[in-house]
Amino acid sequence: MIEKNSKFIQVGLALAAFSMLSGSQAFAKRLDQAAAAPAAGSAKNVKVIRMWVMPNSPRPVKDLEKLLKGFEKTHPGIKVEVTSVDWGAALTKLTTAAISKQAPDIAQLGTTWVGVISATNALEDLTPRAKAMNASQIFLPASWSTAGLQGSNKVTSIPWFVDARALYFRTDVFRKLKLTKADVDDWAKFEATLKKIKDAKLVINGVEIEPLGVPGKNDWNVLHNVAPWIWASGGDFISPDLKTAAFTTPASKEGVKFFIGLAAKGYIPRSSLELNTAQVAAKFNEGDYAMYFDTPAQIKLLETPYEKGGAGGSLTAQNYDVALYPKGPKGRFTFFGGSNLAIFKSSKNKDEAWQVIQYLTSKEAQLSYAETTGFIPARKDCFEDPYFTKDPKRKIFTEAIKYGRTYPTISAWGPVEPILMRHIGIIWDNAAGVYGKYSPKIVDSQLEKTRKEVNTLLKDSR
Amino acid sequence: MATVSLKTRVYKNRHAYYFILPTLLGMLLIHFVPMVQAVYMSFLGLNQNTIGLYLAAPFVGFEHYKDILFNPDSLIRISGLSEAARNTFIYTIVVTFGTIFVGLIVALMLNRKFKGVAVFRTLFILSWVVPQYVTGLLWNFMWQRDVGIVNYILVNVTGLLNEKPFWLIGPNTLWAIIIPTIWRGWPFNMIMLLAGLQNIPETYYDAAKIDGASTLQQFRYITWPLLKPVWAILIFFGLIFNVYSFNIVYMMFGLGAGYPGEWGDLLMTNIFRATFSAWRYGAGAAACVILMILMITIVLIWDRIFQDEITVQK
Repeated sequence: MIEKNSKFIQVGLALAAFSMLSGSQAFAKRLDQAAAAPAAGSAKNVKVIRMWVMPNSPRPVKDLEKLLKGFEKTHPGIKVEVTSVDWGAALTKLTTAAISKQAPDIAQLGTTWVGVISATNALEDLTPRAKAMNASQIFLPASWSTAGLQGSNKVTSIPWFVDARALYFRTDVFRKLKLTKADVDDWAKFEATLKKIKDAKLVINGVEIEPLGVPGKNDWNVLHNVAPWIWASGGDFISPDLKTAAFTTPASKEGVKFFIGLAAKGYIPRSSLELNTAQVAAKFNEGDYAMYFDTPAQIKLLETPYEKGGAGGSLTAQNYDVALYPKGPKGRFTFFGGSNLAIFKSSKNKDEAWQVIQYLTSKEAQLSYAETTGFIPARKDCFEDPYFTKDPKRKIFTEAIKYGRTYPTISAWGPVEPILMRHIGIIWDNAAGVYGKYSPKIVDSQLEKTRKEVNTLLKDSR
Repeated sequence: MATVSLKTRVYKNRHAYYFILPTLLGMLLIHFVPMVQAVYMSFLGLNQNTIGLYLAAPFVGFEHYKDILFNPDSLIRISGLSEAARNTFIYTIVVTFGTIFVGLIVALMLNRKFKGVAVFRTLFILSWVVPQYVTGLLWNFMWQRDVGIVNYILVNVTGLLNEKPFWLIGPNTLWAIIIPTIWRGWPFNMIMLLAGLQNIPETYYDAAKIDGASTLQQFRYITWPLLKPVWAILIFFGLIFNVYSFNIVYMMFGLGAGYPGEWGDLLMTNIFRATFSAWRYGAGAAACVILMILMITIVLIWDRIFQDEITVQK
């Protein structure tokens, strides 16, 4: 009986293996067909440019293809094939593509990845092309500073769009408490405003309003959320010579303690600390928070009707405004993120790929894509357009970018980020009461650990 | 008995070898080749500066192994590897035996004849059909302190707790990943154990009843020992599968970008971050090799314990 069963099992396993192999053959065939697409699926002499982007809008591929139709009309010899890659997997996929030389022609790179991917030497040197288009003068300075590996004097990517952050607040809450934008202008006023909202215990539409919504460690923006406060207190992540960590300077500590201390003081509800950015945004839209920080993409969401996946028409959508980040002791800063476009060295169609990039970074295409995605264009001249000048909320973001700052584009930044994410995550847990009462000593010890780890890493990287 | 030559034995069993061949080739291509490559990578100083060189990166010998095993200040160790190992140990034991326990209880219930038993059998496997990443996302919503259904049931409906606890931060995080994994995994064990139960002849129980054996005694002396080949295999699968668990943590905490916390990080998520987010490919490969050796040891121990149960009797 057992022997009979084992024979069945063997046959079953053999069949499973066979189907697996035949399945993988079919998959390999599909890959081959995809690779052969230029010859098989398009007219003669049409060059297919493969482009990887991240989900920049709800329909990332369709939205970009729609934008690229204008380009393909004027360039009948070029067809752009867009593939959407999830943010969570994108860095791994790009790295693998870079190493295996199976990369697309063009790829979207998060600005904080430019350094580390450039260091792999897989990206085309775009310096002469960028010079010819006078790129350094066209794009926002903070965005242009992310165009290549710091210190290499090489341009390996061209800015595409940026995503500076600002403070979203509920105007109805502010009106009721006789508050104005001026009341969130600097740290002291901001904290006083948070206290006023907390003490007021306002209930609107049956919801008790919490002062500020901020995601804790379960989020992809952990670092971007803390960075403006560190910079505004005069601190930084890495020393100016890029050789040592700078988190344990009194200024850096002050920034971290002020921001995360807001949770310990009860201005950021503990329940917000288990959420991610999208969930905090959803709760702001549902009317739970009086304030929270986000990118201009949120404006787009609040303008989009419910039936199309937005929050338009909600009480929040009718009662909100945007303000700059509060000014700290050493100035006002916002994290300046965004994405650049790069051409891989392995591309066989570099000239055509460059033409696609030129189109996507033209003023018209930048404005059109900004309207679709809600992100801010990387070109300076876009901000003269009525889309920005006539919309008071978007205008705030054009002002916010003046205070934009980003991380150093060095090859070591890639490994530095997870170290920071982990320790700042523990600091958030400290504020959430995981280790008992919030202790500033835990903040100090975690920052000290971060310093040690980052210094080891920077030393190894030299 | 006369000794049969190897050639004769191979010829005699040639059909079996034909069937095994595709599996063998598949294993070689899909498992063995990448495994050899990973072992080789573990001896290389492959990081963000040398990634372009890939397998031509500088050879560093056993440096990564020394760092992981003997240097508590090494980057890979201080990135929470020991906490991840502790969590993985607890997670694996609780999930493996938890899924067997729940699966066994339900299998015993479904091994009776009652109206609608087929409907229940189908309904009970629904949670197993849910993909792991969906489980992670779904339970992320269910665990939320203020609006999650778990706290609503515990506090508002049943009154079992006075205050809503946090599940996605702090030590409860470990339960927040263990419970959904058991929730998703028990139906598979239930199906396997039910199949085992149905193979136990009724006459054994009839004889035991005549001898005056209680229900518990019948379970202890008939059901449990005769199910041993099934639960032995389930322990084997469970240990391997759960040590390498990844999706649930990845999906529940910031889609891999966030840090799952000191009580939410598992070995696989930790090694994933060390390898792909922190670009320490060589050290990450070494950590995987160490884990693989550890798992081979566990499999050998398991084989020693359950050898008689899994050996085909001729």
